[in-house]
Amino acid sequence: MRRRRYKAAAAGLIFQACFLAFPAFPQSQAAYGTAGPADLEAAINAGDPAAAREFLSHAAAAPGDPEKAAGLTAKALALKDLSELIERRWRDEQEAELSRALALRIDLNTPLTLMGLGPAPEPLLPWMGKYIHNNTQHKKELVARAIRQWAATFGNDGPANKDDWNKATIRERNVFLAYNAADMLTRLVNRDTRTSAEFQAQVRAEPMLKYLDEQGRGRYQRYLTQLAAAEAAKARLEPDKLEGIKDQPIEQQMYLLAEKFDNSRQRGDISAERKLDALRQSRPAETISYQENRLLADKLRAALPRELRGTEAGGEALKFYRSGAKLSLAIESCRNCYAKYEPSTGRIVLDSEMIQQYMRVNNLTTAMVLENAAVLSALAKYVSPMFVHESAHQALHAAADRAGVYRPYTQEDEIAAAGLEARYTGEKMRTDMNFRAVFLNMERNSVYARKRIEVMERYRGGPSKFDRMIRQVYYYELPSAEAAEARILAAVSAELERRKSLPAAELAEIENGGIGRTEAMKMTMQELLAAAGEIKTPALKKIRADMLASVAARRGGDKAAV
Amino acid sequence: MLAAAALALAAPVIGAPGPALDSLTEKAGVVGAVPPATAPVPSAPAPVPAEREWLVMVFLNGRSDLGPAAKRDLREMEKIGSTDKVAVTAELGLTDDRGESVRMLVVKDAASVSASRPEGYASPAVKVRSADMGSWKHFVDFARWSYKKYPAKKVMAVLWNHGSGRLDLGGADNSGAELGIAYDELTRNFIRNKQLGMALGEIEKAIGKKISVYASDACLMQMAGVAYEIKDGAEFIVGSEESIPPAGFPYNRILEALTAEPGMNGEKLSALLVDKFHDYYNDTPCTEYSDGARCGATLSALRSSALPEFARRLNDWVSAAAIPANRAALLEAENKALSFENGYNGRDTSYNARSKDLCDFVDLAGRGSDPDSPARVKGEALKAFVAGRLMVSSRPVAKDEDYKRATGLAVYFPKLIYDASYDENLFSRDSLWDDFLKWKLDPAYRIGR
Repeated sequence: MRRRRYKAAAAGLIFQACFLAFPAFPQSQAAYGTAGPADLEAAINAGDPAAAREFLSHAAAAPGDPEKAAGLTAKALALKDLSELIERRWRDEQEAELSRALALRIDLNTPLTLMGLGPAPEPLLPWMGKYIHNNTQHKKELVARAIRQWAATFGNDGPANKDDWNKATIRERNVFLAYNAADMLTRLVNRDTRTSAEFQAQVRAEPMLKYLDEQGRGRYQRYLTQLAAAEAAKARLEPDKLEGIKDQPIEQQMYLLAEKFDNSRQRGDISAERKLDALRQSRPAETISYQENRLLADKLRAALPRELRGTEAGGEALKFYRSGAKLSLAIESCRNCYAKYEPSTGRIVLDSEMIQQYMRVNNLTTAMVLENAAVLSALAKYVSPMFVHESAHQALHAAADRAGVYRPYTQEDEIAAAGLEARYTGEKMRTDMNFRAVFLNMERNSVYARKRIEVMERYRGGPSKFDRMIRQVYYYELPSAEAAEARILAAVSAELERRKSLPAAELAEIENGGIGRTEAMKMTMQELLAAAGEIKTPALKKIRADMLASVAARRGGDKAAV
Repeated sequence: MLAAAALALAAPVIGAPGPALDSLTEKAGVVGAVPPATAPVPSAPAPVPAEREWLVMVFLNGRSDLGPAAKRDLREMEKIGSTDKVAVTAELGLTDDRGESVRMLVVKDAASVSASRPEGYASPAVKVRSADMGSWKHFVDFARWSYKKYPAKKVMAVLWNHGSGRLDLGGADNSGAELGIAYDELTRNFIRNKQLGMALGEIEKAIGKKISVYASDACLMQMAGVAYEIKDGAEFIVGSEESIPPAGFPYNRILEALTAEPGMNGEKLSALLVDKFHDYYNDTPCTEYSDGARCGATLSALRSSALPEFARRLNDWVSAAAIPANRAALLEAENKALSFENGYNGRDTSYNARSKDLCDFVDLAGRGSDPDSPARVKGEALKAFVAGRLMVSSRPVAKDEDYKRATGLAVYFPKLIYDASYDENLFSRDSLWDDFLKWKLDPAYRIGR
């Protein structure tokens, strides 16, 4: 079902699909080719992804013992997922994305290590030579860089002990590199006062900054954009106007430069003002106080359903809320995101900086938004695509809760949510001229607005392009459903195996005082992996059954999704 | 290809670049906790009563350059260990643990702190796989584990790591470092101040009682915004306005006193922390490289229940003081007020936000004004309340005259740019401090808009 959510969304049925019961384990007994179960198991243990695919496509291939079946399924899922990841088309400049995607899969305690692929990633390269069909020279070199192979990263001489490096995982290598990169970026942002074109080129060419993590890359892009905007703005000012500005770090320069362009009348100055306003921090009167925040959240909660009406995609979200789901909205700094659905609180959180940026670019104060219905309506239009996106996440959680199944957060969730968002944005751009005007106006000054348009356009480009964008551009740090299921099944299997040899007293302590089913079902994948040793056995078995049912549902044709 | 020189320019990651990766190979020694044959093996603790007087839980997040200091502090705890009246638990995470932290009941180890314990501790420990030491939920899980195994009448929780106090930053176009405590360099996660409040609330639910003493063994955390955010989760809050020296709390001295008098209440324990910290840093050079010089160190303990009244009195002062006629005096007072972050030595030289001592600022703002003026009267009332009611104890270690002016509670003071996410703090909900700061930056700003 998860792999087909995109199609469900494309058919306009995501919310309806969420209301359907999760599939039961199918009873297919189809033949599975010429290889016997023992042959398949041996081939999977040797790391053969073709055997893994064969195993996963036939229910009868699974061993009768549920624990053995879970262990073997985990390995097969991990192998299939890895081979599909590697076989994708990756461009040179996607080294960081590929690196993060591989780091999720080849790490300590991941199922691939059971087949010799990890924790250190070097065995990946000979494995590719054996099993990957399009193993081009370009791909080999790119993967070598993505796994941070010593020679590909440092050449002959590196800043660390080579033997230690070779024992580290991709994640550990990336932590090391990203920390250094983040430190360099922080010093640039906090201390450097240069903005010249020459300096911008130096910053762009700095090799270390390519190792920034996702959050760091966001900061880096902002910094580069700020440098360009500041330099362009300074060129429009007389030198004496730059006193007290040009010797400040970039955030302060942006803040002070913007004051010079307030209420601009000339075309070029207006453009500079908007760019500076978009990229600077808020002035005191532009922030959203605690009390205003609550008022604004209430008003948006009332305005957003009005905004969604009249569109097919928005109608699906509205139907979900009309069915009894609670619409709880908050405005907070969202930590490197535009919005999020919080399962623990049931809230959809909109990023306060995203809203303030909109207000700054449009010369609005919070009071104006609160007091003027037209202004509020325009803001609701602006945030509505992300609201629709997050409502899809809320619906997916609600469906899993209703079905009583454990489901990890995966790329498939984002394919579904972004698909609904894209449909909504597309409909609004066609039918609501005010909506269109808001986005065309903001697109030049806001990464958020540009990304909403990009999501819409990629969706129009067809399923494979959209799938590629989600998995390789936007959400490469999320596991696919298969990767997540593999990790969970492997961890649960290992823990259940460990319990077989535990002293009775220790076992009793877990079963009596451990984490129960209700709490375990609410855990994220990461929390579940960390807490597996404390979860009661029936809860672990329930989660294992849910993961196996999900695998079986894909094998069974995914009837529930269409 | 990345030039080695480029990385060499960078500041240390997990320690210095070399040792960081060297340390990856040391992991086997950490998780096993097998004491070496040359040192006495600690015996398992004797059967103890079901409920002790105190449970002291120390969440030692050493997943940063502070890893060696975490091990040293754990060894200090093992000088005293747990007793039948006081249980001490610890969770230790290190950059070289490959994601597997260890939890333990800290037991007394007869060997000296410097004895060969390459693992970093002698107490029997259990591993925790995929442990995110920067997750507030993981902190809660540690507390739940500790209490379930070692229940007690009173509970103290200590968060051990880097701290950055002031406020949370972030947003879609992320503009800089986010601030909080418990930075895990392996997971790149940390506990935001708001999450710290959530964690203490969850712990209360899990163990059925409020934490008596919460202490940050981390820099810069004793700020009004932080304390207000967590006030409902602990009866007493202990922390430092200033950076904490690398050696952190003197755990052996603290536990020695607590185990000698386990019946003490939370107020007394919070004051004890302040006293032992003060005495230790008064006796001890700042670092081994400081030529005997003392640190400018601060630690204070405050009474959470007094924070709402504190906010009201602060509001009274803001309403009286923040008027155009006082503007110049307030800006001058801000410039002269005691600033924190060791190395700045009270002189605010940075473009960025600084935390400053609140009462020192209010005191400076009032000097020279009419003693009967509303601002002066409200200022004196505020200072008296902080000293007499809010503070249980505040004892700075003065490396010079400046530090004698530390009164136990710092506040956020942006220099040019107000961080918008400060508005989301509970302190901003209930106090006018956020309005005061906005008015300070923009005279046209209307307080209480």
